[in-house]
Amino acid sequence: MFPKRKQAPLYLLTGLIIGLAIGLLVGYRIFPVQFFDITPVSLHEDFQQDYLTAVGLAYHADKDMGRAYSRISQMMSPVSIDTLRTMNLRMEEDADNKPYFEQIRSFINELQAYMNNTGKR
Amino acid sequence: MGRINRFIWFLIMIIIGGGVGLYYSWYVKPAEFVDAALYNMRPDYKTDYVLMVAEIYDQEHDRFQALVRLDKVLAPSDPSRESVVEAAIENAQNLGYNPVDLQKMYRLQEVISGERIIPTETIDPTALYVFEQTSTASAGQSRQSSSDDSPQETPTPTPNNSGVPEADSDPFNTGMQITTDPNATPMLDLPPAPFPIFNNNSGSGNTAGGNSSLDDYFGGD
Repeated sequence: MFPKRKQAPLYLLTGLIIGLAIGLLVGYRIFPVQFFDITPVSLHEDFQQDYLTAVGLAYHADKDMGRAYSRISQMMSPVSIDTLRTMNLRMEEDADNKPYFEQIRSFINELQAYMNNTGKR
Repeated sequence: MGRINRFIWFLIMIIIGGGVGLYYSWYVKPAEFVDAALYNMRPDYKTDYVLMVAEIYDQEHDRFQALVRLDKVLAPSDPSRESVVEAAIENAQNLGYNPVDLQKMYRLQEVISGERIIPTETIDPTALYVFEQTSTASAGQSRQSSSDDSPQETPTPTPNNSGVPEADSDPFNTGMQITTDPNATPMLDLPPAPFPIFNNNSGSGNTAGGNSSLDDYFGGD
């Protein structure tokens, strides 16, 4: 009779791998982490455009550039005029924000002047 | 027995592996949330966004656009836009927003809830129209009772030099002439009621507190 060879506990490794796969699947797909209380930095780019439009139009309503700059800096830090201009150009393709293209463009120009005068970046 | 032990250990390893996977996906490297919506923002950012909507409405007076903008911060769990604005106002009060900003938010709330109509143009209370009884009525009656069946000639209004057509002073053939009287007492300036006006249903059905209000005023039994 040949002695019975002791089998490696492959079933343990198999169980571990299966459990790992199930855990990752549940953690990333089925019950992913729900984010609440985010800042405007984490907004989708479409919603960032909406946020920019709101900030720009609110500036034209109250002419408070300090407040407008503070709001924009919540969306991006440091504030990048080039990025804002790119977002403004994309407004031409967005039916919701297209009517406000010129107003946002003038707002960005005034924001740039404000940042140059105050040395803010 | 050996097989059962192996199966139990197999299940235990699955549970351990699952725990490791969850720990990794929830704590070590959770999914990055870079495509959030406006309603996922922190309450203070949502409050500021509602303030922006109020500021924009204060200038544009475009209710529809205000509703569209508020829809973007309306989470699936929020019952209505009004609740979002109310929560924003409450948060703004707690954060110490200045009264001017709060006033704009109150106005926005009134507009979207429709609780109070905010007039966009003022009405001149002195621009009243007073109906005056003229002799045209008697003349009209006499014309009707006339036995003359010949058609009555309607006088053609003489054109004025200003180029603005004159309004028909009797468009409905009432026999009364409409004129403006700038010296007329404004109808809005009513004297105060001499007594409180109660809504009291007569009969056996009593509204809550209706009869008691009258009794309190007139000194009931």
